[in-house]
Amino acid sequence: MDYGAKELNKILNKFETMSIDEYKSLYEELNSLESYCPFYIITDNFNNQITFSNNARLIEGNFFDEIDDKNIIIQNNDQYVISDNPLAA
Amino acid sequence: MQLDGYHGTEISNIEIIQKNGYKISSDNEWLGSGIYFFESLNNFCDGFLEAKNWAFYVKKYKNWAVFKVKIKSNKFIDLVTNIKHREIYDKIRESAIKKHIQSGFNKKDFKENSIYVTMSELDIDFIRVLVDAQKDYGYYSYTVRRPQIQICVKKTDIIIENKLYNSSMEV
Repeated sequence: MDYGAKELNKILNKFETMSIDEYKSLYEELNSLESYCPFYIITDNFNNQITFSNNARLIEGNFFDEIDDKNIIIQNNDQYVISDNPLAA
Repeated sequence: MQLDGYHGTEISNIEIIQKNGYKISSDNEWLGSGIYFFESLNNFCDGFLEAKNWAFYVKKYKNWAVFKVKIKSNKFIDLVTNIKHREIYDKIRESAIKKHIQSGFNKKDFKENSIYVTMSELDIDFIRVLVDAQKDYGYYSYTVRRPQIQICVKKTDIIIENKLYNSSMEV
């Protein structure tokens, strides 16, 4: 087994032996962070809107070029909705 | 393993990077703390283009610059071409999701970066991953249209060469 595989096994062991409280603590810590995401995860809700179902704070790409930042609405702290979806036209 | 990586930034950072090198970012990133690079692989993906797009579209740097680096280390996790690493990673993900559900959370709220943030405690120099950065066109798609190879460098001393590759001033 190579070096990276041995290191990965340490993480596997960590998750397998992690207590529920430890996991909750890790998850809460992640929730408190502003996470940047380099890719799109979008759900079209068929309501002339697009919801970024990921917790991405900024979304990459040409798509963002086509819309005005003022159309971005923060929803439930971790979802971003763009009104007047240009792709729905 | 030796790799070439591309890093997008703002033109105003050129001098600082050339003089002082790179600064390790905090944990609040998708692959944990580190310096992020995009890699080219034949005609599969274009590291320079991805780094430039990252700087221009995501960071909104109108005056962008892209550095090209050489990275060399044998202490890495390679989730692109190392099948064994991918197999173990899949077991980790399975175990983490199980823990997530046992903790009373919904599976759809699972955060994959919980795995990468946990990896920050390992003695590794870089993580290499394949990302599907495709745009969602509003219909179900099963083909990968925009592959990205991303490298998260954990230790600056494995960057053995660093050169300014291109910038908006030269375009």
